[in-house]
Amino acid sequence: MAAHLTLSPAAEQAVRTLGRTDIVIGIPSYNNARTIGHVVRAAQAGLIKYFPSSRGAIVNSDGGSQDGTQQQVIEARLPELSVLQVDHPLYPVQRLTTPYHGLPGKGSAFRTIFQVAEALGAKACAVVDSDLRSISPEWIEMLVRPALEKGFDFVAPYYLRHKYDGTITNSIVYPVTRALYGKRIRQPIGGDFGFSGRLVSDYLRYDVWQSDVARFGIDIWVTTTAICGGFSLCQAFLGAKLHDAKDPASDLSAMLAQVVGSLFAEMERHADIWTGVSGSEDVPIFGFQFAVGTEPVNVNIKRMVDSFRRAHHDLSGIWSMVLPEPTMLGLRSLAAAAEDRFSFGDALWVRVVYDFAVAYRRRVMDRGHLLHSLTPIYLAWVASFILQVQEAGPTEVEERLERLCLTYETEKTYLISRWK
Amino acid sequence: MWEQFRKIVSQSAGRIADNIAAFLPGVLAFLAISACAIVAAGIVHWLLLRLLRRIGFDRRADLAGFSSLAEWSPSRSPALLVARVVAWGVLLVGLLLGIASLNSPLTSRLTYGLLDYVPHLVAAVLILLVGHWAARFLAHSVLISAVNMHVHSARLLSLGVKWLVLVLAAAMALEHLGIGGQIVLLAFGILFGGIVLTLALAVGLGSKEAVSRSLERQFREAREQEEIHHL
Repeated sequence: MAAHLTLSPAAEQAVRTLGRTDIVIGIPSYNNARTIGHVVRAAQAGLIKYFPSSRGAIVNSDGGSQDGTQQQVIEARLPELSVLQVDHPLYPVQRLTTPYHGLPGKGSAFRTIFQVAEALGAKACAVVDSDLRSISPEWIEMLVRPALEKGFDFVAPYYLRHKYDGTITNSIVYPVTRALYGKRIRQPIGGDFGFSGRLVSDYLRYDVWQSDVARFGIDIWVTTTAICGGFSLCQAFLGAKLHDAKDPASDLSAMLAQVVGSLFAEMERHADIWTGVSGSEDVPIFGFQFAVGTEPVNVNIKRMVDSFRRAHHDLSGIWSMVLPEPTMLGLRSLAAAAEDRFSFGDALWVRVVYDFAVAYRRRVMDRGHLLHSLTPIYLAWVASFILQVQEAGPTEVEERLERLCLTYETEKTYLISRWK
Repeated sequence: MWEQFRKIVSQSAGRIADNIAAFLPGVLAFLAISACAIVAAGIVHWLLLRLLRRIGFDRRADLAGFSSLAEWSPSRSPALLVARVVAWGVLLVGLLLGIASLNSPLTSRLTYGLLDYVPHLVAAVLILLVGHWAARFLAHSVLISAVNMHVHSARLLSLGVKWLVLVLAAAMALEHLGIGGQIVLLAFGILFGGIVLTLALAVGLGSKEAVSRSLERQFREAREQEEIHHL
């Protein structure tokens, strides 16, 4: 059922004044005064430079920022382009829950942007994060053009990242999405997406905006909904992605629980689709791919390994409710291994993830406990991965991840046998 | 005189016969109600056991955190335990009704006294069950959070929380049953206060250096943390 437009009267008036618009660039924000000016300028430059003959608008959906974010948007806008400022509802729980990407109620912002795009009759819509430091006008072209001119409905981002970065995406989200739905989308939760007008209208049919999707699961939701809806997919090469500075290791456990919980919830929702999929296929990538230098990253492998060993001692009782005996034996051997021989086998890791997915579905225990108890095992995988790729270049790292993905695909039969 | 003796005996026998005649229906009613209660308890036991086994009660109880229930159960089956408890409950209520039908002041008082106590008993059992569930849930929460925060004594903390909640639930249940009265509350207060005081003294005096070393280590680890962007 189509959602009703729930904009403020001023915003509704602005939408009516604007009339028909070809391209909408959405920027969800919440206290991003430091970076949003740059994002708005890049989006405007992208529209003017690459789509001079199309009518474009920028929609900033703000969740009630207190740091002058909206003022920054006003100061950054150019007279040639329409910049629409709307509010998205931020329910109390969203303000209290700080999602992993740092923007409370990002799902509600997406909904508002989609509603405006539909009301304006936009042929293409792109959404970019407001804390980006590396966004350039080319990002707008790469995210919009495939949807506007090449007939694609969903444009996922494709970034270059440091080999140690994005480990949740690399170890769980990308391989699981690929193995389940058969599409190799490298950044399923990248945060910056392009959509066709058709897909935007399809998203608005769903009644998920009061659920966890609106709070912290919107990125995986838009991706899996596009895949499972049979829409045409592609990826856009955007180069390096740099965020506003924040503590990257802050509350890893909550971040992992939110991401993995959203992934598992989507698994439950689409079980009838993915159980019939085997193997995977490439998704076309647009854009000239180039290498970029990435800053060195400090890692403390000993701390991760120690954390896993301690957790193995303390959490075995909880893990044994989730993991079968052979997997528990594998973890026991890993905990006993010396640091220089610390190697988390792909098959063991994949079974751990699949067993957690099954336990999530069967509600073996409280889902929060279940997801949070995965953190030390994940840290063990990260430590093992870093030890394996310390000397490796980008190509070798991708080959290493490709082997992991193939293991996920091979072990899918195990998942299906336990899921039923 | 003989005639008078015969009359007295006859009157006594008559009174005994009358009393027996008056008491006999009550006894018969007691026997009938007891027999019905035995049959009803048997049927309830059979039906409940079938129902619980059909819904996989043993597995569900285990998953819901009542795994220790199996250890207390006959044949390690919580379903059997529940069926037996309910059947015995039905039998007990039947027997109490039967005793009440004897219509003697003593049995009536006993019956009504026991029946008055049943709601307290049920409430106490419920408090214990909820306390057990809450203790387990909180123990898991504390354990997982402490492990993820790299706290070294995670298990000890979790165990402490679990027993604290269990003791609190037991004290509440006993208070509901009217056992011990204020003594239970006092004992709990003294125990809880004692634990807090001991910990405060340990931290403030004896373990001051150990605690400061532990905090220092945690701050150092936080400063040296890795810079990986996990997403």
